[in-house]
Amino acid sequence: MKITRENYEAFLLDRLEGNLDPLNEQLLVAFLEKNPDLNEHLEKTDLLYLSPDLNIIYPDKSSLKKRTLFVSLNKYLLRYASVAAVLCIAVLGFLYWQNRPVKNLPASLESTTTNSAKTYEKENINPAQVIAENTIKPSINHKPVLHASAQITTKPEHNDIEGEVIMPEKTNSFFTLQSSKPDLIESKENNTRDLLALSAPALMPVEYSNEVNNQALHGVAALLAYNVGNTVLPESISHDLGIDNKTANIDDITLVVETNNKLINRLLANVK
Amino acid sequence: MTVAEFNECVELYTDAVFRFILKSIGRSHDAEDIVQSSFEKMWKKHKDIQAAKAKSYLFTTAYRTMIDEIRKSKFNTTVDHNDRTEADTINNHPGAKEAIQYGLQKLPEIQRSVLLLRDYEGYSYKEIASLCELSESQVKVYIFRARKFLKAFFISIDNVI
Repeated sequence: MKITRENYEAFLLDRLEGNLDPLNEQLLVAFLEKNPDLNEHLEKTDLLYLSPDLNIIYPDKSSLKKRTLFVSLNKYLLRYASVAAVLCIAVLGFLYWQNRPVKNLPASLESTTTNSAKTYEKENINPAQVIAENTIKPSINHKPVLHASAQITTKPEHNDIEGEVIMPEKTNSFFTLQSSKPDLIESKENNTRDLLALSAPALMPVEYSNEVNNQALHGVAALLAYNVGNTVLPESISHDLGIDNKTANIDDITLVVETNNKLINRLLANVK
Repeated sequence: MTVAEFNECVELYTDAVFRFILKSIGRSHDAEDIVQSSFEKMWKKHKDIQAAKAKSYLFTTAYRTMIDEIRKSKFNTTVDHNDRTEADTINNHPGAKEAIQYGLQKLPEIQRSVLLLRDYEGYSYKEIASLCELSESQVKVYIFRARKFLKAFFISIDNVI
């Protein structure tokens, strides 16, 4: 680069800072000698250098920063999460209140309803379908009766009436409705139909049955026996039962109930 | 540049750019406004700026913003070389810091800027040339003149004191 009056100071600066190569230094000296008004620069002189004043700081540095997406989201997420948490607690509380256990319900019935539900769920059995298969359609109005009747506590009074079912003494027996009183016997068909409908939800594999359920099954069996009297059982059923005597009686049918629930369905179909 | 890198840039360079602007224009309030404005401009384009070039971008923006503000408000405090008087310096600025500030204010705007960038921020001549849109030779010329003037300025103060 040629040294001129416009740029000679750049060369002077480089020389003072020790960055000028010997060739350019010779050229610079020659240039200064040719320009008498610049002779003062022939001698090297120190220049003034500044150092920063570190005490000078920006007053509010944090105001210049930007919030990250995470922080922004967090702010809103926390707000919505707290609302959601309150709602969840409210919903859970409401559900618990809705499904809270009834203290006055007898323990046996409570376990029955619970086990029945579990059993249907486990066995994939639709109670309505069971009823339909039995061709006995329950009335909606009967359902509450199932619970109510389970609280009835009676015990068979007589066993000397011909054709009457001899029930083992049980408390909370579902089918103790079927007393030996003549007026009830008169309407036995209606009672049987109704009670079968009512008991349909209780029909479940024996291995899952509890005491109350067994009582219900006993009751079904008893009603069947009562209804059919000494009717001869179909051979297929008696074969399945392994019963030599083809005459139905309470013990046999009870055995059916306790042995295999599928047979119960066949029996119910036969009763019709 | 990510948000985190932008914030890191704020942490690292705010004080430096504030010093540079404050020493250039001599008014704290105006310097704060220029720094804030510079960061806002950088934030608007932060996705297009590489983190490695953030400092250079910030100082360039601050410098240009300062030039714009100076021209807009016409508060150019620089004094031509021919106008300087040593008597004013002594009477009004007894302290060393104030004397330096006053001396700087007497420099032409461009000389002051390149000198501060060189001495305060340690930029190379090439970087300063790029930042101020000058040739490297021009930068050296301005810096030489600024140093020569300040030396003469302080020698005169020292002689009077």
